[in-house]
Amino acid sequence: MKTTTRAIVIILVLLAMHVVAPSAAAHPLGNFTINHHAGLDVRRDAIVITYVLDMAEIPAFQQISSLDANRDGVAESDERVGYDSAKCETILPKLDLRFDGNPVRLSLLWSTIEFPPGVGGLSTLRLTCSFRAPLSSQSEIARVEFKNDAYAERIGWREIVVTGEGVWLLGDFASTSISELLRTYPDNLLTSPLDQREVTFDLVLSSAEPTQSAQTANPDNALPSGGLETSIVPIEVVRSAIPPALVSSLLVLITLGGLYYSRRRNP
Amino acid sequence: MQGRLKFHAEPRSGQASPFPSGFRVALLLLTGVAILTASHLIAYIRSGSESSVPLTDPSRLQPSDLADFPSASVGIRFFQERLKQNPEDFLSLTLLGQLYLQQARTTGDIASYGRAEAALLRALEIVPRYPAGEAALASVRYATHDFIGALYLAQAVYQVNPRRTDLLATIGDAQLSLGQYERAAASYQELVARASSPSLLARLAHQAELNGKPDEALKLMRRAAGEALFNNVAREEMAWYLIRLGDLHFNAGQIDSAEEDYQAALRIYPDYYLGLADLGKARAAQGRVENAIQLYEQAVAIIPQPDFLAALGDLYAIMGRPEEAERQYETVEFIGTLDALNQVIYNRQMAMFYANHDRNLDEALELAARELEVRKDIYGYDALAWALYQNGRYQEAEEAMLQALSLGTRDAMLYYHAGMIYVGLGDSLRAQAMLNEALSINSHFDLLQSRVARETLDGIGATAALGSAND
Repeated sequence: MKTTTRAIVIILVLLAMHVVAPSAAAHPLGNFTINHHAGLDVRRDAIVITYVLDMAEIPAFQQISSLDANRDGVAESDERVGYDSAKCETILPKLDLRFDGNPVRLSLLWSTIEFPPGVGGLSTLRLTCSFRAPLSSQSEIARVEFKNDAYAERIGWREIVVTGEGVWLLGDFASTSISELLRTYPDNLLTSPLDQREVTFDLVLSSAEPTQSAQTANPDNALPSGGLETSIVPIEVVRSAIPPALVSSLLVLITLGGLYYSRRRNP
Repeated sequence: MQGRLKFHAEPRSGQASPFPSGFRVALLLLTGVAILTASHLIAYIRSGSESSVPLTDPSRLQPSDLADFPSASVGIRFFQERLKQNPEDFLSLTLLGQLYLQQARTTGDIASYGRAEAALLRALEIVPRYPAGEAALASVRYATHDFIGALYLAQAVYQVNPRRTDLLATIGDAQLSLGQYERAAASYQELVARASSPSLLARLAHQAELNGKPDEALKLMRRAAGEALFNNVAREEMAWYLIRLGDLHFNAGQIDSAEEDYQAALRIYPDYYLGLADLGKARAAQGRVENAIQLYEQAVAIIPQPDFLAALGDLYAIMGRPEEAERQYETVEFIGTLDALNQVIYNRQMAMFYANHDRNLDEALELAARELEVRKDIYGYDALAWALYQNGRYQEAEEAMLQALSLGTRDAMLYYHAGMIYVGLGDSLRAQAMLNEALSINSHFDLLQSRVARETLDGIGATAALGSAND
């Protein structure tokens, strides 16, 4: 009975490998990688960080065996009660979020844990933590810095994505997750794993709200932030804009936008 | 067209030049001679091991002594971009393959070997039998422990491209790993006659080590490290030479010198996983167990390699932390079952781990026996002998052990295994001799096993004393 189940699992995994193309088969850097996604969702009054940790087979095994109180090789649901939140709490001090240079306290909103099957049906580990830091800015523009030092020495995919709602964001960052939150890694022969460990951007709390904000305005809550949508257009246009004044930043935006459209019209 | 002709014709008229033609010819000749002399001199200095200084004091080596080269990952990104522009660019594919190979070596990430192979196979699909691609592919086969595949490929390509000495090196390495010691010696000798390099000296050092000449091995390795420094190799490469030097010191029982070498390696290439683990090994031998644990924990955080995990487990066990020890041992077992590549590369590590920790003894024997079918080197025989011993098959163990000792290698572990096998056979005279030899070569050869060796020796001594008292 046990062998048949195992055989079925193996066949299913093999099938999945063929159907979902090579990207879904394994981790980009092999079976001891620890992969990170940090999605910063910036709102007018808070930053919510969706932090996903994807551990390949070996680190997953090490975690599971530390959970496995009755030593049967499986982390049963009663054995992993409270594990995800405890694990998120150990990740928390490794995340450094600063607002105008001052450290901001993050707190855990919620967490989940899954053990998706990896190579040969062995478990991998997928931990999701949602952290939140309240914002209260006096000035109209503030510098936000974020650094992810969790498992800094272990190789793996490290991704930081920034999105905003009801705010302007200026800086050099990605606003979409090319790994789809560590679910599909691109062809690893021609794409090196991302190694984004920190990000810096300016948050502009203009009294004149950006147009897009109205439609997606979402009160701060505990809903998972996908980080998959680009909610604000200018993010991708301006690369490495230097702060300090709002006016100059906006001028750059307008100029670039103008240039872009004039070039599109007369190729 | 006319313009070009005119351009060529002008200097010939002689009017443009301030020198008479005879003088110019002499000047040209002189310059030529000067360039030739200089290039010969440089070549002599570079190749002549006589002129480069052997590295005797690694403790003085500083990071600034070496140039900064971009890491493999920078190169990888560069060629990836080129390939996105032109997927048929076989040169970029070959270079990408070589860089992945380099990355696998410096990071210990064996998945990079798979990427190297994929890139090289794609290059060879575009240009079949491209020598540089095939040579790199042979290196990948060697690195992934497909020694026979590496040997056949390298030999085939070398026959058509006899000028490629890198293939000759791969041939020699594969022969050595397969236990074809005489053939390997011949390949290396042919290399010596053709080109000297730090890597060749390191190969000769390894050969001397196997042949039971530790002093010569050390001398060669110091020269290799000195030449590597002189040739201004990349930091990670220099660190590798230092680690090899440290291993030779360690195996000869010179623990403090080994520690210095490992520290030097970490100074120029911090966070080098091999350096951290080896320094941990040296610290444990010096009795600084807590520090050793820290170092192994760092190494394992970078890469959970079976031998590191096993050593860390042993350290926990010594410090009375059995649960943590068990967790490391379980991870080792898990890695052994993970996938085909892991099984091939860590095969011997796994067999030794099982035999040393009294776990899965049947499997230890099976692993060792299976590997020996294709790879008949002395350490293959040693692994088999040790697995047989642990399974209580002392007679067969002795047979295999004699093969393992056939080169006269001065390795304490080999003598320890032989000693324990003789204990099993009830030959306490031979057992005593072998165990004494092991401890005199390196009394710190292994954290747990060297204790067993000492205790066993004491036991034999006590029995002997009791025996003579009774007489």
